[in-house]
Amino acid sequence: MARSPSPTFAPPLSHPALPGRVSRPALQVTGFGLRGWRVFTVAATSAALIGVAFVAWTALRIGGDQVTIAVDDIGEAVAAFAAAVSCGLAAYRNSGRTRLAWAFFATSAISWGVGEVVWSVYEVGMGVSVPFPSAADAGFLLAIPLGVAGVFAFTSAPGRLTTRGEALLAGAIVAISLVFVAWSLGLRAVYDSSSASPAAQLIGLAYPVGDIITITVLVLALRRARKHERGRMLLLLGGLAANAFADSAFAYLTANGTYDAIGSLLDAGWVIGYLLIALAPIWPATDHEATAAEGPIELWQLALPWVAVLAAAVTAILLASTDQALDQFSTVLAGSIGILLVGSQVLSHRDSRSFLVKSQRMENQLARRTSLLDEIITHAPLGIARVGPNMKIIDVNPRMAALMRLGANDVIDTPVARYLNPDEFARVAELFRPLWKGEVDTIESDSNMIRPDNSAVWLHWSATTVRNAAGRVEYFLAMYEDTDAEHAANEAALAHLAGIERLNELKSEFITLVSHEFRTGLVGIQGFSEMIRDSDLPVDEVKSYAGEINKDAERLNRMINDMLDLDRIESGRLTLRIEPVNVNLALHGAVERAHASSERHQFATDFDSTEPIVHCDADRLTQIISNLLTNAVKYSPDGGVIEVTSRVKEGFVEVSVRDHGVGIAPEFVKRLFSRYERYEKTSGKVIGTGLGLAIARQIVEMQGGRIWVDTTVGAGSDFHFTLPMQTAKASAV
Amino acid sequence: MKTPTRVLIVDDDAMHIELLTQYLAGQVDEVRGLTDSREVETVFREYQPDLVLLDLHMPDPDGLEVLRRLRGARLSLGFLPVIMLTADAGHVARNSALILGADDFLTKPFDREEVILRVRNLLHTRQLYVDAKEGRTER
Repeated sequence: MARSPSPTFAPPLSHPALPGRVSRPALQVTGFGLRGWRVFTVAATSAALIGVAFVAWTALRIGGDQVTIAVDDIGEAVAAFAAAVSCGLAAYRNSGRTRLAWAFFATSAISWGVGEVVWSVYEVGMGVSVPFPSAADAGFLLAIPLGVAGVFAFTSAPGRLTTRGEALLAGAIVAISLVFVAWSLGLRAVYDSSSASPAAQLIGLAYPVGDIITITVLVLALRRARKHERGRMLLLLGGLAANAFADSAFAYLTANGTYDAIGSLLDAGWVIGYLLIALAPIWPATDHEATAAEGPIELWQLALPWVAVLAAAVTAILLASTDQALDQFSTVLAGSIGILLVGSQVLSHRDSRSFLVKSQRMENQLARRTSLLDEIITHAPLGIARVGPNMKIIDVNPRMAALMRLGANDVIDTPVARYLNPDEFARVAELFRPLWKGEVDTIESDSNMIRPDNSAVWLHWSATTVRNAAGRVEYFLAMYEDTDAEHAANEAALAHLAGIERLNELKSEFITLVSHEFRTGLVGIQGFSEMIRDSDLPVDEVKSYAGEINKDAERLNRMINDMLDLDRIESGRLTLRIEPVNVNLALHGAVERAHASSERHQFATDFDSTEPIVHCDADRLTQIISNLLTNAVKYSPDGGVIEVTSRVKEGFVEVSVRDHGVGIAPEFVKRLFSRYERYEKTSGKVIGTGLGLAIARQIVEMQGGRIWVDTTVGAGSDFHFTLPMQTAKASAV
Repeated sequence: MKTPTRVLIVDDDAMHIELLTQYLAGQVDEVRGLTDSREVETVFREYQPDLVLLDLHMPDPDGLEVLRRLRGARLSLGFLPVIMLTADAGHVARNSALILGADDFLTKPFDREEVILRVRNLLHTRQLYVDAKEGRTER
């Protein structure tokens, strides 16, 4: 019958109490655990048809009195047993208190059904009228407390004393009001005028009293029913109400001794009642999660006891308007109602007062906490921002605004992407993914934030998710720490380290180069001196060897001087003797010396006719020119023309030395004028220490000029340097 | 019959050639110096030396490049030893030279004894090779 196997459907007996809210434990009533309406609709329709058929049969008395009585009695018993089976099944499918409740209902229905069977044996089997009281009455009366016990078994224990007291008071108010109504409207008359024996009278009274108790319990239970179980509760309570109605009618008529023919029609109350009870377990189940957060008790549920009071009041007015006096018993009842109302009122005031006090206290606490939080956020040394799910900034604290160099209001609703470069934003968005999914609580990383003024700052940040009650991301709370200084320090340290490493490398290279140069320089000194020592050589040969030795010694001396020069320049200890110098004269002297040392090269000079004067150290100028000429000779081994020119250009004299030699590879050009950088493992023959050009550059730049080279591999090099000229007046000297 | 031994010295510094020539006087039959490394292939073909002393550091082409260029010619001549001349103690340059087929090294400044011994040894090996080759042809 059930579509899903039942073991999974074991509903919780209580739901977690909602904090800070006065609520009653709701009624947990679960039947078969059926989903969907199909089965219920079919069952309800069948029940309705059976009910209508029963009423029609008993009203029309089809097949004569005897048949109608049989149908009436057997129909009632069948309805009761149907309810017993249905509730029994529900008990089987549930556990704990719910099982107990359904079991009570089933037992109640069985008890009633057995009573009805006894009744039928008298009426249908033996064809006699049933004596009153009889064994049947025992079954009928037992059914009432069992049904009431069933309703009570559904409720879980009230958690709060006030609530329990309130429930008791409400129950008493309802019960006494109902007794008042019943007593005033006829019970009194029946009781007073009954001719039955005292025992029979007592049993007769047990029916209405049982009914009053049943209805009271119904009212209380209805107050507690959860919304999604309300249909089932209404079926159950409707069934009990129909039974009570039929019971009361039966009792009234029996006491009057008029229960006979029309009694059969009233019997429909029992049939319909038990059919409704049979339907209750079939009511479809709903999801518990969907209704977990149910609101507090509704107003009409609260007002239910007052309906009974209202009924009593209306009855009292009716009595007064028909000139009937209240008897002693009724007055006691009315007084009791008044006292109970006062008690209920006091309890409810106490309840609401404590609630008010509590909520005030919480409000104060919340306000204190909020202001503390505000203080913290405002004065935190961290930047704090709320970022919406759309990755736009919701708001920021003053520190964050300061970090961004923006007003706090200018930041609002700007996209995060604006402050990061696209790659970084993509990376950050990727980091946020697990946060979205709820796989992690917090993420943290470092980002370089780009401010609107295009400056950048390194931030260490962390972000966490704030979700709403439904579990959706409401916003991200992000905190930022300015780590710019740290980053800058790290980078500076790295750069410094790299610089030191490079310097170390250069030093090693320099030592290798120096040792190479010194070894080469020593070849002649060692070799020729050895030959002079070991062999008997003619004097002119010895002289020639001594010349070679001397050349090498000079070469070594030059190298040492170069190194010392550069060291002096770089440490700022070189002093220049500045004086007016005629550039053309300096060039002329240098060219002559170069020519003398190399017969293979021709020197073509083209000097500026204005005889330009520069303000510089004459010796150093000569050193630079000689160095360039030496290079030109060395790097044009085939000889050829070396062109030396001087030109006046925009207040500077530009000197150039051009050869048609091997030229310099482009990758080498930019390092040509740096210290230590001259040597490549496979480069050509080394001249001097290779420091000549580095020295030249330093000297030229010290005097306000510059030096550069235009060169093509295989076509030669064209070295230039400039020096600032003397003023026009001085140049005339 | 012993053929005259010829040694080719390639160094851009004429003084070094001069010194080595003095050292080898009386040890070998003929010495020829060359300061311009660009001519080395031509001179090598024409002079047909039994041994080459080759400076590593020269204006283009440097010693390594010269080794590269001489490779084919040396292979066709059978065993033709080359001694590299260098002031560079760095093993990178040494290994590069060895890979390109250099047979030995002489470090600047030179030790006279060492120059003579290394040259003599390699020339001896060269002689053995030539003899073996001629012996085969005679047979």
